[in-house]
Amino acid sequence: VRVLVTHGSETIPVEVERLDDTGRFRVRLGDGAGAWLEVEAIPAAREPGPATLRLDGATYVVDLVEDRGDLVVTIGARAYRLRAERPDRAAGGGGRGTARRGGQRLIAPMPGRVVTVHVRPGDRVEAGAPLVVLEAMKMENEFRAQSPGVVTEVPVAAGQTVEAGALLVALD
Amino acid sequence: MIVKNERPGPFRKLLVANRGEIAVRIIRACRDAGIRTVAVFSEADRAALHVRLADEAYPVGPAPSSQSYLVIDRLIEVARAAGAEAVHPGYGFLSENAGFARACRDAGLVFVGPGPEAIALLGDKTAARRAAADAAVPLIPGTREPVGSDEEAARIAGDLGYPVLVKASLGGGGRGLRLVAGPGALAGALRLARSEAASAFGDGAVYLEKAIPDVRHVEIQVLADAHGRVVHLGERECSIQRRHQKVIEEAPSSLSDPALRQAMGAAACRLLAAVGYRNLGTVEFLVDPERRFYFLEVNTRLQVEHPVTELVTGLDLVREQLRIAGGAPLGYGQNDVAFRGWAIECRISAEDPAAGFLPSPGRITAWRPPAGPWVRVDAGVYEGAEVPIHYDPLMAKLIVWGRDRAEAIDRMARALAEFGVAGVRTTIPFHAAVMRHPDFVAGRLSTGFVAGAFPGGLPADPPETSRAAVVAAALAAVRRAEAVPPAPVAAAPSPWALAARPGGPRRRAG
Repeated sequence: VRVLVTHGSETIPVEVERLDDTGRFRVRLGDGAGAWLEVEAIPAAREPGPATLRLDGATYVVDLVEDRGDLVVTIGARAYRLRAERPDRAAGGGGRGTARRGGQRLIAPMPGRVVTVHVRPGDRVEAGAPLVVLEAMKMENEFRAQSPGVVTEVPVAAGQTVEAGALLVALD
Repeated sequence: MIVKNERPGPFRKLLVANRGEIAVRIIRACRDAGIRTVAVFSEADRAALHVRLADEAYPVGPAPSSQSYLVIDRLIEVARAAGAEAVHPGYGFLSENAGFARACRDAGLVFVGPGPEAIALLGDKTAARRAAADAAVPLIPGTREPVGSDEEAARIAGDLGYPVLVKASLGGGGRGLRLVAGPGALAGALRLARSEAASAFGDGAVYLEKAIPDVRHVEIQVLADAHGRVVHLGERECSIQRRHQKVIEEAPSSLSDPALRQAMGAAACRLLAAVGYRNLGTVEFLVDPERRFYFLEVNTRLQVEHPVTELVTGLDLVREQLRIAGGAPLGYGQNDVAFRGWAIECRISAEDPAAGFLPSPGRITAWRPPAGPWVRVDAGVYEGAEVPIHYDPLMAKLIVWGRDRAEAIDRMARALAEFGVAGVRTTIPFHAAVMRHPDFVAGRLSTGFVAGAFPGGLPADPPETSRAAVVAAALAAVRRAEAVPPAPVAAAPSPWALAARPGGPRRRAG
């Protein structure tokens, strides 16, 4: 079975093969080039995901719940908000998380309110130029260009509320 | 110190004009004192812990605080409708708003805090600096008035010498505050500070102050009753800050000794006595490596970090606030105040220390707070609760006590290791790293500690952990696809709809 897992602006294809009925699988990450990894998963009673995961010699205690269509996976102190879809259903979904080659895509790392948009499509920006100010939890966070480029897309406007994962600015 | 157990009065019902952990803290103090509580909540907080714990709760508006927790008329209206006789503002929101204190007084409600005159005077940071100078309290070089144009600011900053701080005149909690290393960064800092100050405090006025390197932030807790008695409860060390916001506090300070405590305490009491202050207040100082102290500002409210003072003095500060507001005399003097042991507090926020402390709002899917001897958790959340994007990311405060500093650090490290939170990222790993840091352990602290010891926050996630999360999500998707039958065409009727149907089960009246 092939699954597309989206984390922020990154989409990772994962191939999953069930080995038996005791929770043993093998998985391969990436586009068929990576190595197969053996996984042992002990499922939680009511949740869809594993409670304990043995992967590549390490054991992970996993807390996994669904929240608004996302899977929130917490391992130790690290919480990940992921989206996992079968490719047939994801096809044509577009928008959120679709990886694109080249250029920079500034993705909202958290939900918040757009306070200021410093750029417009067509603008040429230097590395470090302020692009967008996003307010969340009472702090204004200024996001800057990581490298020089030309702004190709600004789908947000000041005053707008955005979700985590939303595209703020695209540069080429 | 053993304080006579006197019930605060004379009011019997109090409105808590706040949310989160501090609303819960105030509700607890009221409950302990036999005072009924009235909570208020925005649309984002309908299921919040403070709403669940209060005796009554009323909606005050939409999620943005400017349309709910900051709407004075609405809060007064709720207080009156609910029959509350007093209002506790907590910290943040309207706690240092003189207009709110005045509106309460005009409506015949007891405001648990100082009078509007003292709030207005000390809340204007430039006026407070003048009052401190008049009371012979040493000051940091800086402007005593808000700065006007960027050009004027640049001239003053040049005279003071970089680095300088741009501070909101009505600021607090690190908002509207920027450190400027050199002239090139001044204009940008002024812009951000003014914008943040305008949105947070409704006034974009800012002033400049010289930034002193290697300073410690040490503050004095003061109580002043309505009968002219002013007593201090010693110091709190609050040097562990990030973006000028305190993240770890302790009492006492590893820098302090009885002489310094006495000198700072006397200065703090002198200032608050001079302005006719009443109730609980904090005088903040910066202390340089030579132990010279400079007045920073006065916080005319209960502070986030008040529990560390509670643990070393044995006083319930919210209860003391209620007693003072009710007109009772303190009943003890400076010589009755004694200190025992060491207390440390860590602020547990929904922020990701491995990603530059970006806010991490969301649903808390697991919440397993630590416990055991001398471990206290003041939380405003619970398992299943939502951390909204609209407010401060503080979820809880973890406070421990030990006989000395080393024991308190060990206990904090143990409690942090025990603290389990899932669904959102938290600052717990950051605090754990601080507790192990040799400079922190040795008591070598300064306000630059975090930036120096953890320049980029904590290291990013190890790739194996991220990979395990991706695999777990993929397996969950596979399992879901296998387990879930096709969705039914018609949704099953909700049990609520059944309950409401005639003839269905009903809740008995009363």
